[in-house]
Amino acid sequence: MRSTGVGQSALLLLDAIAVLTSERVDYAVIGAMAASIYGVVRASIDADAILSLGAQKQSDLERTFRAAGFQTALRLGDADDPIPAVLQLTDRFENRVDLLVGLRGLEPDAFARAVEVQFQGVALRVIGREDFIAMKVFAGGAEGLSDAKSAITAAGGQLDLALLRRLTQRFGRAASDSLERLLNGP
Amino acid sequence: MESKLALQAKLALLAATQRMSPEQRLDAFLMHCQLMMELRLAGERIHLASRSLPS
Repeated sequence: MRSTGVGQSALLLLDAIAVLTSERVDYAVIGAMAASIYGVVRASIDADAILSLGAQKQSDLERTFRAAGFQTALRLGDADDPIPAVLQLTDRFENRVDLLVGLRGLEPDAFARAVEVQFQGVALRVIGREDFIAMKVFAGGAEGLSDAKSAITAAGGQLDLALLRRLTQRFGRAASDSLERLLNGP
Repeated sequence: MESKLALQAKLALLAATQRMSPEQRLDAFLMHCQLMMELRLAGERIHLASRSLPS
């Protein structure tokens, strides 16, 4: 384990990614770490990634993480929850990694669009910019919309607007309307 | 109410962040998280110490 104290959830994520890589599970880093790449750097208690994993393999993966020395908790979403399950990993410093096992509306190609970013000597797979913005718009709330707006502003003319609109549409009408407000706002 | 000054400050912060490489931004994220957690723990220690003082 890389972590040596509090506030090192990003390092715990690196340990988790080593397990995911050895288990050949596709992942993409999301949340505050992705926000730091596409917008502004902000602190977070946890580090998040989304997995491409079938529901039947969740328990096996939890067992693998536990055998590797992680403290684990597998939480299942309700039938109407857009997140089917979250595998939570913690260490003795209370660093925390949330691994989202899927997200309703997320295009499967999101994993292929993920970009590689070096961090502490590890090549991380980070969710693509347009997928990130679409997810943040869908998540909503002050933080989600602020992250999305920052990413849109920082991207300038580099955004693939057609892709962004298509990805956001998959999350529903409300998300599409929110995106248009962000794109047309001040 | 929208503050023009607040918006300018936010855009300047965003521009400064984007001048860093993605790797530097992740390093900054890690450092920022560590500092924030240490600040929070320090606050908790002060709070506990002040509660244990005789009134």
